Amino acid sequence: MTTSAAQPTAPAREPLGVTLGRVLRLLLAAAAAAALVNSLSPRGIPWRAPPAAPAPARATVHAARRLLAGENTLPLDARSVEEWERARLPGAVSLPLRAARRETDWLGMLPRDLTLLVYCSDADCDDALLLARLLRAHGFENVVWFEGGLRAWQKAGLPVEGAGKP
Amino acid sequence: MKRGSGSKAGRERRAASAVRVMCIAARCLAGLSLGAAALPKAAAPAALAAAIRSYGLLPAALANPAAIVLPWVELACAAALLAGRRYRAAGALTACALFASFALAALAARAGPGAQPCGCFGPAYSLQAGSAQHLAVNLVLGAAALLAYACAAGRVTAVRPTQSG
Repeated sequence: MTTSAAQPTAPAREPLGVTLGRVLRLLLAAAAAAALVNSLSPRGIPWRAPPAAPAPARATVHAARRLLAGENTLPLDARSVEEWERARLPGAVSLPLRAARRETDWLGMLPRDLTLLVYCSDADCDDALLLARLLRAHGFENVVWFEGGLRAWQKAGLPVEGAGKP
Repeated sequence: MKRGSGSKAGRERRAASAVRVMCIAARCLAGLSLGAAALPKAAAPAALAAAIRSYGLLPAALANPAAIVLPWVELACAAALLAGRRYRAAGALTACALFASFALAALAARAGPGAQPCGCFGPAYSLQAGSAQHLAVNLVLGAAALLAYACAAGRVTAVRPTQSG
């Protein structure tokens, strides 16, 4: 709806060329901010991803529940042992990311015939994804990253184990 | 006191107010959605890169650069839509392009094997990629961004009729 052009307060139309120029400046500013924050943040990622093992499959809370309802899935907790002791998915085994990166004993302990459902505290935590990638790099075929983690599990009202469980 | 030219002026005023409200609502909807989507993505770039990779629309080498830059583009658009005046139209136009891309990605995921989280609002709140809800959210937000652009670029005006007296 356009009202009469004779109205003195009518805003001037912004030419598309001007808008596109500003879009370009907006994108450049965003890219500069992104590069700066990515280089300073501990969560920053490399611009060029290393040739990695195939990405793990991802699961929502519903998919994770379905997987755990079967007998062929082992939940793996990528958080610290203390957090695992407090609350964890039923039957979950603790394999903190830091320990998994430092040691290799666990390689022989994990079953290769089960689906490994890897999770951490919540969706803002990257440890589960990084652990899932590590597992794929070590040749584990059936690795599923439960990206919502323990918080999504609890939010869905599903049971947890542990000393500090709600 | 005499105002406008009777009922016609009143109708014009009401129409102008309605347009203004629609423009502000569209701008806020698009801006707030982009802001809410950007923050969790910026906090977990590795997860976003995985989500981008799972769509299979971009070459694998571009997944990381896209994951690094996308949240900041969304944030810049949100800031331009919500706070800026000079860059409002640019922010809205960029938001249109973003939502159109997201809708295309949803369509592509719909044709794929599915059962993947979309990663739209970060990993915490994720619709199923390619679901009708995923597509609908992007279409609605895209329409809001388009309206916000039309308003900000002066294609839709909310000029009040001149008052006399």
